Amino acid sequence: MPLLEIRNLVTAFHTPAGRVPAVDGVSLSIERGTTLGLVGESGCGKSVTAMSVLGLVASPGRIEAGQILLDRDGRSIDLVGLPERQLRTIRGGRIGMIFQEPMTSLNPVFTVGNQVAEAVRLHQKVSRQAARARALELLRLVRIADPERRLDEYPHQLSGGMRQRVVIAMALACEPDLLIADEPTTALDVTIQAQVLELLADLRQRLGMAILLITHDLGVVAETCDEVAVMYAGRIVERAAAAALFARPLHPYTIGLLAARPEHRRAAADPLAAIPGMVPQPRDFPAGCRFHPRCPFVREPRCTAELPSLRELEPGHLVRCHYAGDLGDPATVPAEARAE
Amino acid sequence: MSDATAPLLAVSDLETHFPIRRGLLRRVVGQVRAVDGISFTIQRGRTLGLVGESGCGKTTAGRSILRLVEPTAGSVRFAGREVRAERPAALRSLRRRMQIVFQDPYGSLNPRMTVRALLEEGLLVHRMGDGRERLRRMTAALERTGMPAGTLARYPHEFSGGQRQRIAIARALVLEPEFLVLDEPISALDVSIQAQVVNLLVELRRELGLTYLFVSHDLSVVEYISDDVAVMYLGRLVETAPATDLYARPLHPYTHALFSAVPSVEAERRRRRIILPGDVPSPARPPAGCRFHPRCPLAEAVCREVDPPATTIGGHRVHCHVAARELAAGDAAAASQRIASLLTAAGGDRGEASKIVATAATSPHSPPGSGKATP
Amino acid sequence: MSEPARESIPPPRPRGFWAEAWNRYRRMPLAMAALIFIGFLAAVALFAPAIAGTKPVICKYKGRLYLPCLAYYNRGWEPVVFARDKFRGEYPANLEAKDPESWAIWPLVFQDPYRAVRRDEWPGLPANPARDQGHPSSRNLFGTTQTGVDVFAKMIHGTTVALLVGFVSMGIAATIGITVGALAGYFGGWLDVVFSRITEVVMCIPPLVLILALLAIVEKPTIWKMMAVLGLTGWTGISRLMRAEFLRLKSAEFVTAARSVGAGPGRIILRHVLPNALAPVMVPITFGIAAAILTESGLSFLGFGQPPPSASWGSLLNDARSNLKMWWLVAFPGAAIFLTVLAFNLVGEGLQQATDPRLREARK
Repeated sequence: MPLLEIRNLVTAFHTPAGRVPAVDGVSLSIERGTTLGLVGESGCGKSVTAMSVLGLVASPGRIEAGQILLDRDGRSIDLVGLPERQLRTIRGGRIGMIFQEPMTSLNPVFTVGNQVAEAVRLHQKVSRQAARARALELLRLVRIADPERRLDEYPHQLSGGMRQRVVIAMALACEPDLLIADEPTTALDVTIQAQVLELLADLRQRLGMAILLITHDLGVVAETCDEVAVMYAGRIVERAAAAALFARPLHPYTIGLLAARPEHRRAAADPLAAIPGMVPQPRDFPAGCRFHPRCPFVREPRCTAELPSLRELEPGHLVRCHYAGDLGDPATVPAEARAE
Repeated sequence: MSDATAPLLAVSDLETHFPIRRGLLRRVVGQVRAVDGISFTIQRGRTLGLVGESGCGKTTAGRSILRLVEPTAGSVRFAGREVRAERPAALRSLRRRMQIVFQDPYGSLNPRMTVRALLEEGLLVHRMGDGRERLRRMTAALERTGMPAGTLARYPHEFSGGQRQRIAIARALVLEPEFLVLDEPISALDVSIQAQVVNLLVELRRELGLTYLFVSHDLSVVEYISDDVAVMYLGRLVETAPATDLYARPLHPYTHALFSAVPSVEAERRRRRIILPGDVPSPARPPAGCRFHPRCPLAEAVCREVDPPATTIGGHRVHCHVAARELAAGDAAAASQRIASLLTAAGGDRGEASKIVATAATSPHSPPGSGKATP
Repeated sequence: MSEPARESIPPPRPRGFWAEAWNRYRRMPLAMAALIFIGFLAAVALFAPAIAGTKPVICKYKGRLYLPCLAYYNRGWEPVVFARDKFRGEYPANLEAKDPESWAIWPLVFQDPYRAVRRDEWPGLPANPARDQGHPSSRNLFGTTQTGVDVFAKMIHGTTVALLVGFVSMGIAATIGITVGALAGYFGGWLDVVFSRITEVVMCIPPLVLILALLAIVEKPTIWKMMAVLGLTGWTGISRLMRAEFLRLKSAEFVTAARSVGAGPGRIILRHVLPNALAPVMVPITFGIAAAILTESGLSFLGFGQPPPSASWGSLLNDARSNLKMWWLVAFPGAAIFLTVLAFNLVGEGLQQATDPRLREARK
């Protein structure tokens, strides 16, 4: 049984302008001790998926359908519809979380030690002293230099990388089975990003926890994840083992993203194969295959009318495209753009 | 254009310090040395990539050149004129020739103005053409950036990030400048949109003969678009070289670390990662000696005391005691290889970095020493 | 030529910030009702002499046209001819007697806000009842005061006073506050230090005490002097907010962008910073109007307002103190003050919601 299994999750926001389905039928599973990368661009629903798992979707958002099954000691419980009190024991207890901007996850008026100890005491009945000792241990675990001194410092006295380590320490307070990391290194510099990614990989190995890594950076996914799910416009368009996905991407979107990377290329010689058009916002997802207006392989009428299903094209490699594996020649200009 | 050999832009010993003020009387209690003595030149029609991490001063450097922030010392010569000596009126006319595109297309376009008002402002300030001529120029600039003329009547918030960045580029182009400072122009955009804007910039450079200063933290984009690259750390340039040279044979330990830290999707190109300890120190209190020494795995006694002077080999300039010594012993390729292997060895000793290392392999692009020379 | 963006262009709906804000404001029923109510009050204030009064709106007298009702705006505007001909404020009888050819258009209600109407001043109209006999009736819609002055007429003319106090005093405050805040925030340095210290000094002056002191030393305390004091002491909040907005906006990237195309400080302040800083100060200005109206009413109630004869709502409340059985002296002006202050506060809140960028994002 996987540690976490999401089945057909639908999370929508009800705004004055109408219903906005940010997550529209997402299915995922994460095995214990593995890292799943959830990749996508702004508005694709990757963060809303994470928030749904944590039961933190804020009004006017609502989980409308689907199951989120968490394996708890061999018994699977559905997080959807679980009362808030029980959810709270799972959040921070079974599932830890870290967010993009470490400064906003830390309270500026309390010391680091205070906040980490607080995270410990929220889920474990221990004395203040024991919590502080545990906090120190956690700071050591995330390899903060000179942890005794840091314990009594305030968040603003720490650097960005250090703060993210503190946030990770708080998330690990109760030894969660699953760590959800939403763009944990996006606000950090590359050399600091390297430190944090290395730390996460090391912690995963030592603590045996699973990680759901949400990011827009394919490079980060390639270097840290076992499995990858690519999201586009509220749906998963491709799911595979990381090695397989990067070796042989099947969905035109994934192919496009990889082809557009400028890595080790020179402008003088070859222009980048950019994906045309813009990233659709949840308010106006197109009909049919949601990528069709930007897809160079689009074929009428099927792509514009019929929603492709997520099918297993190769063992363990799922793709949501009518013609994946048999894309044919790319059109120079996608149909939709030509019409304008 | 008169002198083909003179660079369009020559920056020498540029310093921009910001005073730190405290108390009721706002007394100056210190200086943030955002840019602390940098020198480089850009030839007409070429692109210099300025890379570095946040807080290294690269954005301030770009703005100091246009005097959008006032430099405190040094010289900026643009097309033979000293920018720092110009009076406000002359500076304004110079600014027509040197334009800037900002990182955040949401912040850099005034939300209360239509696209037309935004584009027309510069033309009005510089009294360029009558109403019809202005309209023609604006339409032409928008067309060049791939935006229809109908854009003019709209407000910035009606467009997506990529479209706004095109509008921001059009605003710079409408004044027909020769030189553009591109300050992280694609960092705020979605991954699939970034390539569109990069292609646009490359195309404009080719068609209009523009000269770019491309400021970015994204090493792969800088490699793609730049002819020359300068690496900045804590207000200083640590290494400057032609792009192909720098990426093939980095010399400075910081450059090595920076390159190795970039996550890559290409498994065969994934390098042995050099993980730097610690954080970037504050530019208000830069360390003595080599500014990189507190984080440098190769730091020696001399690095803690003596600010390394420039060592030049061909067009490749580096500020590093270790690199200087290695260069004295052999050619650049050998020196780069040697420094890479020293770095990986140092990383292994720390016992931390080695754990994550996935595949160490060689490729024409990775530092030649990274794979083979591993002890 | 460039490769086209190939991004779909939104449908044409060129919308400015204020048009968008108005669009959002319109959808708030309570704020909309409040705005309509204020519009109604403004109309009442403007046309007060035509609604209630004893002077003709327009009349023909000895072959010429006159507008005697203007005297209600300013006593000096009463045509001299009526003083020369000794009308003494009693138009109906005198017009008839001194020029049989004359005609006049009268206000809707023949009642005066400053004196009791005498018997047969208007043919067939009895004298106003005085003291506690002046219950609301068909002749005196809201009753009369101790001295027999019609409360309805007083209230109609009091609207002018209330709105004038609110708008003029906050107009003064806004002008000073926006200018001081903008200059301090944009130029910074010693200018900022000087302006900030001045602001702090002014903040320490309690306006009520200043007004009371002024009333004690000034011989003829007029409503205008009161407005000036309210305005001169009430700009500090606006100035501080404006300064903060300018500090924030002057380092905004679009301002740097404007500088990069060569725009000078005047253009940047007026075209780039001010329009973006204005929305946040509209809210305290609106609340300030409500506060000024309340202050004026309070002063008049305490008897420190304009000396009688005055038509302020607060002075009606003051009248009621001597005889609380005359409930109409409390109920009508009290309700007017309450509703007006509430309306301005609702408008302020609506403005806040319509212009707050965070709320705007949430709607997207």
